[in-house]
Amino acid sequence: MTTTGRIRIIDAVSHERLDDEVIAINLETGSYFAFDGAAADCWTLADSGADVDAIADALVSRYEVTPDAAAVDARAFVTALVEIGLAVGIDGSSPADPPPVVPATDAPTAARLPYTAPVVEAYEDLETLLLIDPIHEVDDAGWPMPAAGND
Amino acid sequence: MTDSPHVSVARRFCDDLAARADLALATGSVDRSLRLGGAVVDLRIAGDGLADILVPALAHAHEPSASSDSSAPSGDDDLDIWVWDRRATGVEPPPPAWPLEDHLPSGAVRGFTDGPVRVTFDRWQRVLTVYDVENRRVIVNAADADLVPGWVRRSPLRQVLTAWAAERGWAMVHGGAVATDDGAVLLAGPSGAGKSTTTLTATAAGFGFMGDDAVLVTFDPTPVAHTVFGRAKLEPDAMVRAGEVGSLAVGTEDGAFVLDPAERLVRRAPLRAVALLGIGSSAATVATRIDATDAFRRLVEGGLDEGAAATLTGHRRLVAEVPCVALTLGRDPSGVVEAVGRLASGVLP
Repeated sequence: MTTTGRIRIIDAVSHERLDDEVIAINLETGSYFAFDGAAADCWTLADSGADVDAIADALVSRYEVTPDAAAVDARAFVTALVEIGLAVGIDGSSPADPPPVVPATDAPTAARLPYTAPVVEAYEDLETLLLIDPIHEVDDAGWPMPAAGND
Repeated sequence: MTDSPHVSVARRFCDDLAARADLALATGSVDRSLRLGGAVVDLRIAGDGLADILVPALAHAHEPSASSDSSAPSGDDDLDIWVWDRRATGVEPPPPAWPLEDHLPSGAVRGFTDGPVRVTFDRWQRVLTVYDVENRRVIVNAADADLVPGWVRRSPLRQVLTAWAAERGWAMVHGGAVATDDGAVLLAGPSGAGKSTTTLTATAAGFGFMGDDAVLVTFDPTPVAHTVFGRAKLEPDAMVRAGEVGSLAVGTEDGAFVLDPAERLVRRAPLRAVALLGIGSSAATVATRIDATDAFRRLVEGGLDEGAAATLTGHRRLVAEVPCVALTLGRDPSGVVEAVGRLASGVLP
């Protein structure tokens, strides 16, 4: 993870935001993620190129969270995205980079939304994936085939 | 702009595969021009066993005059699909252009889930699928038609058509659909939610059939439902409620009846509502309006393995533009039919 905490969502991840919810699916692994509230905002901001400081600032402006907690949570969130394979860390921005897009907040300064720390949680049948053997058998043309007894 | 080395490898592999497909098709092929989603899909299959599996459920979409030039797609949405059976034709595909460890348990190939060439390989069915996006062609090689499971007959080339739909921003929804003269209703939900039973109950009551497991939704610009697969499945215990629709059975698959509702099939209809199904405990069927965000998650989670993942953009647009309801199914079939009919007429809870 870079010092700025800027990340890039990898190309194999398909994601869409609808209102305050983001659904993200890793098309290579089949892992499915659903983010709402602060987590959805963190995702959108990170995807737009915002660094950890900008994400934390946006959380503070929109949610009832202290700057220190927001900073910790924002960095933990983007770190988790990288560790779980949804994103890769990138170096600092260049002058040509467009400014990151921060979602507008409907809440006036005096009425921020209740805050739940953003987490990255996959919904997947890990057991099934783990039970699939790595490929050992190939046919005459070089293409994988089930090992004997594993059909 | 120069291709990256990775893309160059992919393009060379695709061209090599296409050359092998040409050889296989030259041994003899079954050809069909399909009208799907308003576009022309030219399907060519080498291997009679494969043709027997792939053609029947798509027969409703066959329009011999749809393609005036079989050598290349003409419209921006058109597609060529070439399929061949390795054993039947004796033509082998080129070897993989990537390491074995890049074959993932999901069937995807690492590095080839997006970009101009996309590859999947099902190691159990031993079917290779390559989507050459820029040239609007899909090339499929099956090691042996006998390895393709029976359920594929009901929704053939589903993965291929889903990838094509995704590229166009359409949605391939895991669900059924029925239609009246007023419009169509999508009947979605996870396995066991009652999609097939509800679809066929409504069909038995006179609704038009548009599929019981997958429905294509385009935006023309308003949402339109299209029938993709003209086959349905009915479990034995549901036959009691099927009425005369049961007479449309043409075979069995894994203990269930396979139906051909061709005479009741509707090719396309404006989409009036999305119904997320659930089984209730009372006699009455209850419809409750749900918001788009709730519908989005439920629709995607209910269809993760059946097209939702690949057509996420289309699903988001679908729930944003079409009213969504939760439909809790009661034990009384007439109540189910009545509820679906109201939705098709645009009457919302």
